[in-house]
Amino acid sequence: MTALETSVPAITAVRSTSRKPRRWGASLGWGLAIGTVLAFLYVPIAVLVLFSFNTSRSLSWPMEGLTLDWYRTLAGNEQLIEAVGNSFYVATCSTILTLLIGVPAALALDRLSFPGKSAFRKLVLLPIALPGIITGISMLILFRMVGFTLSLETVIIGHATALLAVVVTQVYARLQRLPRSYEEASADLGANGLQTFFLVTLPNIRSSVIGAGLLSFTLSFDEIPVTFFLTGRDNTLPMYIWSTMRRGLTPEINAVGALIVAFSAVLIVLSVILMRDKPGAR
Amino acid sequence: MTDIVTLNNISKHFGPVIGVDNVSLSVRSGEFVTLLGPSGCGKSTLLRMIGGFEEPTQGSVVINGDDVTHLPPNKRPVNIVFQDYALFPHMSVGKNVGYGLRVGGVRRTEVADRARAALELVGLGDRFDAKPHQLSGGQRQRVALARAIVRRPKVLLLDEPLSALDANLREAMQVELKRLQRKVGLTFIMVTHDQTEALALSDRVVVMCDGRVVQDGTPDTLYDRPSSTYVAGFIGTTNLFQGQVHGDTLHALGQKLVVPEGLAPEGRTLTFGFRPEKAEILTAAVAGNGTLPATVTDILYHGNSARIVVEVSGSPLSIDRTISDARHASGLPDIGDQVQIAIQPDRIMVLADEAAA
Repeated sequence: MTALETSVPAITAVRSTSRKPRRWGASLGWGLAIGTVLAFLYVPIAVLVLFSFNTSRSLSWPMEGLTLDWYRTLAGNEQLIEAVGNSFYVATCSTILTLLIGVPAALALDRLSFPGKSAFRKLVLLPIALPGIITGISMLILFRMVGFTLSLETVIIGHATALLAVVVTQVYARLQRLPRSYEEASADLGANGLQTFFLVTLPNIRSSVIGAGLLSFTLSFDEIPVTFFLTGRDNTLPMYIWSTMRRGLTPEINAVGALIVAFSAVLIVLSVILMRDKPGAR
Repeated sequence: MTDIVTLNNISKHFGPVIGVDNVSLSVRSGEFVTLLGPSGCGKSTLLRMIGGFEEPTQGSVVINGDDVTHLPPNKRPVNIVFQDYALFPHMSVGKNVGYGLRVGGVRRTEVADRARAALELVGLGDRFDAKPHQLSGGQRQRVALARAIVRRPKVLLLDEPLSALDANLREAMQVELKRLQRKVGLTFIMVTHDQTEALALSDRVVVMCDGRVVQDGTPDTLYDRPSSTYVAGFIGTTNLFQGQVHGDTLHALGQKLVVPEGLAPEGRTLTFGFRPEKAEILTAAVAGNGTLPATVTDILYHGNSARIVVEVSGSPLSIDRTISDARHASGLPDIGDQVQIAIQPDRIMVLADEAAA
């Protein structure tokens, strides 16, 4: 009896001393792993941003000095500014277009039952698996056939096609978690279809619509393959960067890159704020 | 009183499955009618057809004199309280309650006033600005009620309204539901699988089985004169046995029981039954005409009553005895005691439609 009593504290004592260093080791290991992942993700971006402030044109370390000159040249580069404008135009329009088609499509998929529904669902999702180059070529052939002149608008249609799958998947997933009784209750209380959609359904799938919209915008903004085939004489930003890159890497490109990084950060913060589901939402 | 809801030969088929099978039903204005049955008996489908969420395969739905069979829910003068309440999570309690008025084009100030009045009616006047997720289950239930009555519907439909609440709260809400119904004088049609709830609240109970109505009557009719073993078994506990009536004697359980003359057709083997509280346990010494000798096999003590299980000729029978005496479990027999059972003759039920083969 006494032997047992003394042995118990002894064991706990051993355990508590051995636990501390192991915890330290574990957290050190985790810290390293997380650090590596983050470095892998963000060191290239940090280098890009850093070199956009470099006085020298050459990409060699250490940097010679800091300057805002490249941003100033940027501001004077009309071609580039036009490309940025085009990119915003394309991304905004294609996002709106995909949302206008994608949200009703997701609603139909979730709320209606019609013959060939599961085939429709798979067909809508297919373009996400297709390489952009295929979408680009096939739409180019179609537009040529129909006799469309290539322009930013054809790019918008191309982007919208490719992005539809993103919107439909996200909104559909949210709709499936939304109890059907909300819409029934709304109808029961006298609301017509449109009132139900705007007052009950949309507020409850809001986060998924915003999320899908922001993702579509970003994907459209930096899209090259589809744009490459479908654009006319106008250039979007990624196309412009890509074409100037053929003449070599310039600090000016770094400056554009840094601005895009900043803009993306704003978008991400915005999406986090807007997509926060209200407490109590199901 | 006039009929506010009339269902004429309603059927609903889901592919090959028959949900509701040729049901006709009239509900009078101001009545509290309950559709009672196990899950899958078609009671919810019937309610949803009244609400307009399902279209009947056959038959018609008439509400307040208008044929609404093919009208959508928003065109019907009825409102429903859903089992999960379906409160809109993004709106405040007040906005939820006012929703029906807002989409109906009522002026903003009037919407708020009437929503507040409805909330006060259910005792939640102070939670106008709360969000549904900040409320307890019972409060959500009351908000759902307020939201459904704010438009002054002709009929209020309740789909298992109390099933999501815990036992104590359920009882309190039963009282409140009944009180609310009296206060607003609305017609209530409720769906439930809980027989005590149905008996406690309703003016009339419609028992359903496999898409059909098996009995339609007041709670005491259903309890005292169930038409079938199904109803007898679903509502309360019943001791069932087979027997034959000859004159004023019922031959059953290997014994002779005294029954009123003409209780059942002469000499036919039928199912009979009696409720556990309609029989008495006497000491073995007082054997008389129509009493049954029995052996006590189990005693279940419930505080204010006890259920005594006895065996008569090999068949178990349950008999309830109320314990009004202050002393604990006084006067109860012991397991193994030989006793006599006296069943009140006029409390023996004939389950007429269950003729034994």
